[in-house]
Amino acid sequence: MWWFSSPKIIFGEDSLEFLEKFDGKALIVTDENLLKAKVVEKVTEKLNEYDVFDKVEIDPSFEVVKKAVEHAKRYKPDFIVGVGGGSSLDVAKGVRLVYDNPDVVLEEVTPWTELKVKTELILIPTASGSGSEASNAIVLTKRDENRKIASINPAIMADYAIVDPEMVKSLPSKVAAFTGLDALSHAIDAYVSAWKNDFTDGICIQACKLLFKYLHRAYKNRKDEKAVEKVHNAATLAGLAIGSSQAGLSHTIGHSLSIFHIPHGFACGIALPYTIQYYSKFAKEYYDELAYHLGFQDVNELVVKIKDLIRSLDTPTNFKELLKDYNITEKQFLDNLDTLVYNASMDNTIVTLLEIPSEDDIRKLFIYAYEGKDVDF
Amino acid sequence: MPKFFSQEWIGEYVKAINESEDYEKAAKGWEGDFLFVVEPDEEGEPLYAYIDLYHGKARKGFVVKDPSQINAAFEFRGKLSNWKKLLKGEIDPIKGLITGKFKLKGSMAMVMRYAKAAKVLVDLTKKVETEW
Repeated sequence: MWWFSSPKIIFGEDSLEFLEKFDGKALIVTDENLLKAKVVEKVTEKLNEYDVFDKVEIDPSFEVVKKAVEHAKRYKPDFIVGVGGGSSLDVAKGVRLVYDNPDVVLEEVTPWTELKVKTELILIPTASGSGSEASNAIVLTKRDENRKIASINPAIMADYAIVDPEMVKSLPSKVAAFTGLDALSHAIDAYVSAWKNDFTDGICIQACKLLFKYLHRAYKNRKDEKAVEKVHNAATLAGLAIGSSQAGLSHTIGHSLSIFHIPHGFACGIALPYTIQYYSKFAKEYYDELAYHLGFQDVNELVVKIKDLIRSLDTPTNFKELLKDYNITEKQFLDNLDTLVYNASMDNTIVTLLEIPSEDDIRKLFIYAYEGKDVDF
Repeated sequence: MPKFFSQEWIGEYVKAINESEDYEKAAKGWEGDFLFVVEPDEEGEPLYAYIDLYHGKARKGFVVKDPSQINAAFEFRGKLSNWKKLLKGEIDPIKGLITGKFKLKGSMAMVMRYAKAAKVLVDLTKKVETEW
């Protein structure tokens, strides 16, 4: 027995108009930059009464959810609207969960914790990557341990996801690149997960097709409306897939690399070719099948095409160059290698892999991805 | 071949845990003992086993006759038919908990932190040849 769940998804041009059907007080959960850039205004102009919590940070912590819940308790919203990238949407999910279940300790929420929600939650992505608007997961950072923790529970799922391309028109190209790579990692990871199933396989294939066809176009020209919309849809599709099948090894590596505070999508996307090469020893049949559906010969060509796509986004295909772009030296990488390996081996995504890699293999994966070497172990 | 949940089976399982480098690494900070409960599918009495897990090793394990005498930090229970599926790899342990085939009591924050160790523990049951 397993299940596939989804919010009601409103997508395409003018889908923000769906907000007009809601009465009562809305609490908007977002970040300061989106507020200043007037992106949030596109949402608030559809609402009658609202208040804004705009303190969501990059890699949000459990503490920011607590602050937002306190805000919600004072304002007493009838519904909650998350507006932003994965960070704001994850915080909005956390706020709704704790607002409706005041006794729950978010860090202790397991996939099987029995929780109920009554406050409606609407998620509106302003980036095309995390898929958070369609998944039942929250990823928050535990600051004292400097690591990300993913909480999964059916009650986390939003009631509505509004996937309006209008919200991503002003997304900077660089952000479009790394969020798009995050979406690609979701779709490919989910296709080879131990939890893969008939209800997500097709979604993964379609998400990959859209990303291979449109991500480069959407990156090069944000005025290419068709490409922007297709990539936006692909990210939500990939989010749906990981909600039921879970993310995998590229995210195991990517989450761990967050200690360097580099964009999550770059970390996962650049890890992807190496994790595919390694994980092929367990899942070659699935990768070959996915490659076939995408019009590629086999897993080897899939890896080549992913690297081509990454390059087409003016993004390096190894961690050495990526980390250099963020002023992380080789010494810093090597000094932190034990922590990277430990965090990866303890990451929750590892338990839905077909086989759990040894710490030695994880260490090698980091080194090979750092050097840009084809995996041969 | 030891019968499932017999003292011999528990002994073999404890041995498999203590020989596992993967478990030792994954659970190196773990402190918490478990009461495992096998509920009958229809009639009959439940079976109980206790295993004390500490810093990547199993310090002791034994069949329990009277569970009221045990005050374990964690309790993991499920029906016999589901245990069979779990040990054959037909049920994923986390999916089993989510779908209610198994119940877990104890600190969930601890369990979530050691998700990999939990999976290795289940995988290790496959190393014990089992008579049902």
